[in-house]
Amino acid sequence: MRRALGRMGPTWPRLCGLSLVLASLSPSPAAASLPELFGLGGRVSAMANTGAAYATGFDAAYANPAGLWQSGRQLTLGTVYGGYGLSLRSPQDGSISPHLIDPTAGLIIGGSFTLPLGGVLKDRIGTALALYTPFGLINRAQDPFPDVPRAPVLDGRSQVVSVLLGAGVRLPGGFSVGGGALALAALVGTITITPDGSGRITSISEQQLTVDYAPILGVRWQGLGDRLALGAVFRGASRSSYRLTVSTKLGDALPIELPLIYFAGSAQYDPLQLGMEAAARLRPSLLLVAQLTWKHWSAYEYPVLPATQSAAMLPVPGFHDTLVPRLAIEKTLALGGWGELSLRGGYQFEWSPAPDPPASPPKPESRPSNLHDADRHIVSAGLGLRFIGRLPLTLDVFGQGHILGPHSTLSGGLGVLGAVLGYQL
Amino acid sequence: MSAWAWLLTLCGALLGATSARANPVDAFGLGARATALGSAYSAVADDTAAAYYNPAGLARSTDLRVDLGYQLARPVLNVSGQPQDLMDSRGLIFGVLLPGRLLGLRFAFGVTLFLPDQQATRIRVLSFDRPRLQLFENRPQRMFFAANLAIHIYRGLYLGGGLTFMSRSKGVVYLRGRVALSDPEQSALESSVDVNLLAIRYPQVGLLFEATKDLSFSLVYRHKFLLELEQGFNIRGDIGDEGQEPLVKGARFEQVAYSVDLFQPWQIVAGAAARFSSVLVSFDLTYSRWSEQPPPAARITLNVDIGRFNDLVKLVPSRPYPDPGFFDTLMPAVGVEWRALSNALSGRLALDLRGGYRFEPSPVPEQDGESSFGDSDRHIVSLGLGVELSRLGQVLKKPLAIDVFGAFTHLPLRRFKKLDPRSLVGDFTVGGQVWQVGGQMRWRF
Repeated sequence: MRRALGRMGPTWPRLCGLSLVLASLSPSPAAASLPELFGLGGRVSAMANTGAAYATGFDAAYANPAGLWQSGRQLTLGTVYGGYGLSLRSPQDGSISPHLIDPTAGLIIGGSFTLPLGGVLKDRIGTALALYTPFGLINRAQDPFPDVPRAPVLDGRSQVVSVLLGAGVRLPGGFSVGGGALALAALVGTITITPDGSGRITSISEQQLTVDYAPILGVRWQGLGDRLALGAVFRGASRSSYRLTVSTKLGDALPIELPLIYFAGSAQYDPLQLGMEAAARLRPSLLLVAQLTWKHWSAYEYPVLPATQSAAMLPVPGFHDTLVPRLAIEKTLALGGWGELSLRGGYQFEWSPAPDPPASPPKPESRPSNLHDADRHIVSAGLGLRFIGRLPLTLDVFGQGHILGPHSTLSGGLGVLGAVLGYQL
Repeated sequence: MSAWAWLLTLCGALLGATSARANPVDAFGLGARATALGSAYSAVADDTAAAYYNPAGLARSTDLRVDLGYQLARPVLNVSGQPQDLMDSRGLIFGVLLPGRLLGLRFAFGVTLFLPDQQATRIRVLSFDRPRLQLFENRPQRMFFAANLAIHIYRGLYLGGGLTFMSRSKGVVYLRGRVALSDPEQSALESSVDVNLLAIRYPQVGLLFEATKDLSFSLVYRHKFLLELEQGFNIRGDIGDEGQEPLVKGARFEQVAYSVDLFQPWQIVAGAAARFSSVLVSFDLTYSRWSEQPPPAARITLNVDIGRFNDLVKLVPSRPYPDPGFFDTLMPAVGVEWRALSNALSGRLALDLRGGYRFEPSPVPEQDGESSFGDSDRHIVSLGLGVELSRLGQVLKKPLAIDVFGAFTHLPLRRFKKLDPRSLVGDFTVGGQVWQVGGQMRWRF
């Protein structure tokens, strides 16, 4: 953000076209739940998952790809660990039991570069790849029976690989735009369980994993001598869904016939969201950030569909849209001539989309909802160390504490720590 | 996907027999230049295709590189004269190479992706005894993603290595409720899923030595991987029609299937490349340890308790499938690149013509027993053309390369005979062709 804006010639229509092409060429296979939950990157995670108006490195691939034209050329490696301490109170007898969620533990890898083009495209286009991978895991589908309580906004949402690819283009007038995509898997197929020629049970199956893309689009304006930046980012809903039809044709081998069975639902879901952010640099060393994000949670559907045609009606989540306000601050201190130290902090209020108590069944024959979630007060803090000289490294560490607000059944909190090391190539 | 992540999650839940596959890059090559050279590229690689052919080649480049292309392979194969329903392998190739220096040491980091545009992954499972084209059923229907780091060790000596990412699934799908006896579709079952898609990372490492500026040698090792699926399918409930007393209470149908869905043998590649004036000649020899191929079929354990109907159950107990007895293979490949034009159009244009040949012996033995894995040797001839455009103005200061290729694979007709004349499958033949085309742009910055 401190970087001075360069020449701004009358070329913006061409650049707009180019940015759209770049956006369309930016597929990435992923579901984005860890970035949605904790942010992606040491700086933005320490600053309350903001970044739409200031992020410029690999973290901008999620925060706002419009900032990628400023990314420089950097490789990043980091790790993140989170623990959960949640309890659920039984609505029937009031007993309290722990609600277990596996810890978040994974690796963050990022690479970003500004394309070293010349002429009218000099210092105008940048791109980045960002990857979060849980240790030892790519994805998890954990959909219990409908009567088992669950916390869908927190359960296993960081247990999925997130890969993001984005590109950003600087336009005249202090504007920049960017685009990226989340490529999401949709599994469709059929399986037939049947005896083979020798009478042994086997299966014949045909499944395909198709790819759907959820876009991330952003725009940013920087002005007033780089003292003010405004950013807006749109993220499409991302869903990792599956639908398999299983038929059993065992003939005389089994005296009963099994019905056509459907395994269908969503393993991961992040809502469509739109964020608006302002970042003001009151002094060269002090950055203040405010963001408001609207999340379209009302489109959330129950994550599992009925297994058979005559199965009981499933619960209705009854989620509502939410607004999430975020505030963050960054103070940078010079460390002689060899580096800089940044102190960061932030707060966000994650309004729960779930009704409390869970939604009533719409029909008497429907099951009652067992989806629990509470508001979260999220406090974050972190440090950033940037070395200047022969060893151009950056080190960002962060921590987040999520404290659950009052709720009829769910209580407790969670915390996450992370460290990210960057190397300027 | 995630990335492609969901493919294996639930399909694995109920899998039966499966077949051996690797990835589309193994089968059809990666990138327009490499494929045109018959995939004899381990000693030539200096672009993002090095992620597969020889990671050490990444460190040759001092430029930031971005490669973007598209390639298509269309198998036209038959079993006993019947055309097989095999999908094309087609998709986007994308690679980035980031060079840098750390404490005076030159290094490069590269990521390379092949993303099929029809589906990220496909699994097609046939029964064990059905004749099928063993190495073509699903082999091309995979995404390929590799990340590598390479360093320049000393005077023409490069070392590189990295990981390619795959996954395997493990878990159980539960169903509970009521199975209707008179009309199965009136059954009321609800499901619970607990399946993990676990990461598999298999390494590759490469060494590259530039003996002179015109002569290079390479050595590459690619580790094997098994994609195992271990899945359970568990139904518990009552048997009986709605509104009536169940005929059986607490019945259960449990199936656990273990299968190897995908196998890639470990490989060692030795290569050399020599430039004679305007002609580059490259040679690769690849040893593939196919003899470690496990039985490409599921081991299924069934446990059925349906009360008063137990006596009527006639499920044949499962037994392990026999060792497939695949052979190790030695695959030679040769490529030639001729710079037909250099410095044309006042130094703005250079033109390369390319050709290659590769022979892939089939690892599949005679199928005279109960298995019917069809395969044949492959003769692959490729041609390509590369244009390098220089002095493109202020925007692009370094040359831009545009490459196209076409390749033809011939599988001579191979006859498989069964020893048992009562075999339900009988003798069968396999043969056909595979057609490939593709193009790629390679930017240097």
